[in-house]
Amino acid sequence: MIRRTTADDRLRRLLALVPWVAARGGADVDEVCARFGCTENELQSDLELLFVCGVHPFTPDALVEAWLDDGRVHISYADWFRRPLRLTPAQGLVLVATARALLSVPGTDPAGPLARALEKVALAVGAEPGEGVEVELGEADSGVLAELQAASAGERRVELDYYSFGSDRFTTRLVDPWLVFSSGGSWYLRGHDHHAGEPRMFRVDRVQAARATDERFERPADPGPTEAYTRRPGDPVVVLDLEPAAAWVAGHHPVDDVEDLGNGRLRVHLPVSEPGWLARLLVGLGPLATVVEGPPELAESGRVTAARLLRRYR
Amino acid sequence: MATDQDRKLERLVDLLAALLDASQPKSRVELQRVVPLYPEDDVAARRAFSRDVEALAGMGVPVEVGEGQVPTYRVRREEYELPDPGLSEEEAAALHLALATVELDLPEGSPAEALWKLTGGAAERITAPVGPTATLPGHEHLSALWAAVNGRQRIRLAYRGEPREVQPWQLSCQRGHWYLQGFDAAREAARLYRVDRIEGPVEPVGPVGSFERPTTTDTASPPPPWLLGDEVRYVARLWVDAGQADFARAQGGCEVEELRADGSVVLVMPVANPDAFRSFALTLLDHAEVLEPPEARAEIVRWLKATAR
Repeated sequence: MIRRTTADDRLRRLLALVPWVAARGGADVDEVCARFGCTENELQSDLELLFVCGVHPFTPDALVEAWLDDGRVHISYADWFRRPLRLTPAQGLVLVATARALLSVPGTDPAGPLARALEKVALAVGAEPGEGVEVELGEADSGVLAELQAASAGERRVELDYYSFGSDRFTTRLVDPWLVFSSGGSWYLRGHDHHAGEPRMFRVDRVQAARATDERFERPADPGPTEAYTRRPGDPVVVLDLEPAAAWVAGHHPVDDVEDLGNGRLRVHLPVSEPGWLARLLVGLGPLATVVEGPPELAESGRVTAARLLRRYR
Repeated sequence: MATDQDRKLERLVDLLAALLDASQPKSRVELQRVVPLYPEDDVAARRAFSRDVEALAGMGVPVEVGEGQVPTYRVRREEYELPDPGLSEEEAAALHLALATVELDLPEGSPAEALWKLTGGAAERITAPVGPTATLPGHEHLSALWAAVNGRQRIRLAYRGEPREVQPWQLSCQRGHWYLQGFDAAREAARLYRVDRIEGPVEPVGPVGSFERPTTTDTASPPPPWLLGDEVRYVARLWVDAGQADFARAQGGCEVEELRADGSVVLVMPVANPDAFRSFALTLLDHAEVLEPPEARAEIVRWLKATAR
């Protein structure tokens, strides 16, 4: 989606661009445009405007000097803007959390450039390095995770011993590991499943063992999104009414539609990839969810599973 | 030709320069005398001025508003300016790569703008190679909580329907959720709050730097959900079959009481949140059975009956 550039957007760019150019005593137009994500025309009109900015009484010594000349950008007398604006709390958190997340991945150098950058950034945003925020990307056997990452990077097919949560079954699969990623606090593997003959998603903490083979694969240009669930055409949809205590479902799972039924109750249209997954969800939600609509075998799956489990407790 | 947007931008730059240039706080009227391009009509000028101040504050400019009879405004340079972090090229590239690899989407948290400020952006587009790619959940309260953690400023929030005053110690992201670890003043005890369950706004209370964080962070790793509660309600025994035993144990918060010949286990688990324990036990379907206490078994039966009906 292309959003129209606003005056705010242009000001944010200027407040970062001006000190950067001024500190260097000028810079190439191409480089400035590449670094600050604008076109030469946009840069030109922002500089023309900056040229008339300054403070009262707007005599030459109280104005910014800014101009384009022979492919170079020149900015001087911009002393009010000699340093960039400090980071917002959200930007500070994004930087620190992101760096901490990567540093939590086994195999990352704990004293490498990222760790050193994190320490400097923490000081610049007024945080104490090493404190304030912890990020873990997911539980996973570090050996399995490392094997999958290496196989993915080296484009080698892997054999997996896998427990499928959705179908509640153990299987051995042959998979081309396209992507290894973390989402929602779990590690996932996305790749071509040779038994299913189509792309599949695997949770790394459900992989009991992974063995790289000698067979190579070629990663497709678009290996698909790094999301835990990607809708396939033909996935059935169930309509669920949720009590207030189960309203989190609407935010936690990708739903097609949410209707407010009043008093905190919601009606959601939920696409279902695996019948077993829905049965588990429905048993967990129990009386907090009612299936209003959906294919009969799905609509009944919570009831059937609950009745089966009850027998164990008799 | 100058557009409306150009005029607005010029006014914002001039206003910010005037606020940074002022040695004393200035009133709106004083500022409008030295910043051109405000409408002549006083009502329109007043409206435009407050929108401008909001726009500056919205992008993080620390506009200090003096609450006198006539409000005054100023921006202190030392609060405005980002100290130079002194990043080497290699360190800057590592940050760019981290932001290209891990995603955390927050309001006013644009990573691109953060990198403009810190490193002047990147001369070449940096993209993540195949490798760990991760998405962290965003939440509206995170920025306020982070600011309070950093500033060591107490906060007021509502949780489980009760107002609480908390010394915020640390944020952590685990199992796909953000948690705030802190000290609950009224309960005189350390507590863990799930950020997406915090009700209503988070309000700072009192001055910054008003408490010390504990030096040990042994509680940094949040316990599993059934341990999130004010007190332990009972200790449960849960049987889990061989296939799911490792997964169940990896959740933490349990000890293996018995390892049976078939590879199944009996786990002993203190439970502070019975609802969360029931959910966990049911997640394991036929692979688990709650053995004790009777009240936990009865709750499972009640729940399954209500589901099977």
